[in-house]
Amino acid sequence: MTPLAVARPGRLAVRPSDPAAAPTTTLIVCGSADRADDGAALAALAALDRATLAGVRVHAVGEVRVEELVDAAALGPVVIADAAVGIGAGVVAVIPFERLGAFVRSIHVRSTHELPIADAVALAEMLIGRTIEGAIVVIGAGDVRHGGQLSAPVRAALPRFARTIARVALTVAERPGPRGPGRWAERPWSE
Amino acid sequence: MHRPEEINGGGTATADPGLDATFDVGYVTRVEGEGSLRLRVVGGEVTEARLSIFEAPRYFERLVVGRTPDEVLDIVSRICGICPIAYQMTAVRAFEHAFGVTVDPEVAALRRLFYAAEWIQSHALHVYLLHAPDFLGYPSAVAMAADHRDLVERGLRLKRVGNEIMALLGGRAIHPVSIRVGGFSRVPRPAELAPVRRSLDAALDDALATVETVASLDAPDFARDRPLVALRDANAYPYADGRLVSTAGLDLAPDRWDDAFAEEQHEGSNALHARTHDGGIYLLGPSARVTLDAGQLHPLAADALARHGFGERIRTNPYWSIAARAVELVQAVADARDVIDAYRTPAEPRVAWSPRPARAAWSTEAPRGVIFHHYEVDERGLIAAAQIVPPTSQNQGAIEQDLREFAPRVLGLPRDEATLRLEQLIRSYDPCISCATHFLDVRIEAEP
Repeated sequence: MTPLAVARPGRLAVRPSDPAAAPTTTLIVCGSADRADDGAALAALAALDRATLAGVRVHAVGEVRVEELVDAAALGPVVIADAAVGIGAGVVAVIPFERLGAFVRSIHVRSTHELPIADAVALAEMLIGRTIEGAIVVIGAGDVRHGGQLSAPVRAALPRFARTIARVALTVAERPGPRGPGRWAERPWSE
Repeated sequence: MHRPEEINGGGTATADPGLDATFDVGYVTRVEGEGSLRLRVVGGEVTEARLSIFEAPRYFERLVVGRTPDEVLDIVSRICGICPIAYQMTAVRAFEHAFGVTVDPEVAALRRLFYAAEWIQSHALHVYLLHAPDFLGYPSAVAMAADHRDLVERGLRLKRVGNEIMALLGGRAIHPVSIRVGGFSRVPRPAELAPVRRSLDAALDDALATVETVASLDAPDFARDRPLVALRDANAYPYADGRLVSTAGLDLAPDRWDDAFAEEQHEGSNALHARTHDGGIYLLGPSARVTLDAGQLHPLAADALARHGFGERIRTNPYWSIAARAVELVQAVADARDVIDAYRTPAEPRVAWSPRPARAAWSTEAPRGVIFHHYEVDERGLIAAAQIVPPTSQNQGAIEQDLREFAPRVLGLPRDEATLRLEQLIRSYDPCISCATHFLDVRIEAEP
């Protein structure tokens, strides 16, 4: 689970990528299915028709590890789907990696990951020597007790969360124009 | 105002005698889980040091009631994303001991490989990403990587090897699913282990280099003298077998932890603390193991320990736990190589067994120290009651006691600097608060 503060409206920005490469997007789905809303991203993945994610590498993990981010970033953009505390239950938000560090610097860093997610992304970027194109798609968690079910607000927002994960995973790799942002950038980051 | 050299000096610094304050660290960073630290200071003396653990209480001891032993193995692995194998191995050994199950020697060896893999990934994470920044003067691994990229890359290489073995044997790297009572649901063919074996040669070089790096570090002078507790296996460095021993003369079978220790509730914490029956505080973990089991170290690890004269520092100074983890990285990597070199596919991945009403209890060595499980199995072969005692809750008393002793050295520093110093000490114990909740937030309040 990724702890976040209240998401504010903004716009995604896509950094230019090497036009000669053929990037593969990796979708890293985090959470624990037996910990109520912490399993929301896994539930959203299960609700998606896998054909929708054709061409996207999907990894379901308990938590993001730096080494996985490094491996995934070598192939192309990375999208992380996770539950979050600090935003309202059921609120879906998209936060580009480039804004993640600034975002969490203003809040207490709390994380059930090995390293806080912003640190993991920053460390991976330092190791590969460039920024990682991508974003984290989160849904606000209301209940993360072990043995619990998805809370009502999260259950109600699950279709929207799933659609957002798919949309970001499919559009993050779309080539931006030579000078301008791609379609992905036209979407507001708070759904 | 204290200068850093005073803090790292001989331990004579004290807080201003007129200082009345309560010091709070709201969230302690670079530890696994969520918790806070509150220090109450009256007349310059630290009267209270409380490591509060407020991550949502975990009801695993209740969740397993009514489940079968094999189901318990899948459930308890969810307690922690860093050390799931410790939970599985402790439970499976408890059930096997209770039901009279003897596993194939090759299965026992594979389990040793499995546990060693968890030590490798956990120790590499702590040494390089959580603890080294403290010694090298960086606020985080990210900041450290800017100047010491090689160190971070080495740590991640080691971690990858641990992950690789855990995924191969466990079915997946996090929350593995292959351990069953009586063996594994599936065992690898020797050819499947060949790529891992090649990775381990490079990992051994990295582990030995870790010892050299740690030997170059400087730690605060903070000598402690308290009982250390670990398993001691007559035949090998302890992972999942051996007797409970201590520097104070304890010697118990691994299923009799509760003959010497008990859990108790402490205000402000969702974790139970453990003490000896006469209220004594003790310390578990790599430092305890290296101290009590030096005679069983792999020759390569024993040589690394002796070459740098780490022994006494590891025994007495919590900061030098980083050296114990470095030595154990060599131990675990060397063990893993030896297991693979000798491995032959067992005839069957698991042996048949039957449940019976029993007290199923056992202790093993998690990366952070002794972990104890106790299950009552009813006549239907289902769990009637459970007790799970992780290492962090056992170490919590020692952590708080050391904070009380250390805090006067730093309370005259600016708040941010004092917080950092206190967090560094806490990180020396590599607390896994997720496990113990059973995390960290530091607070100092002014008294009227």
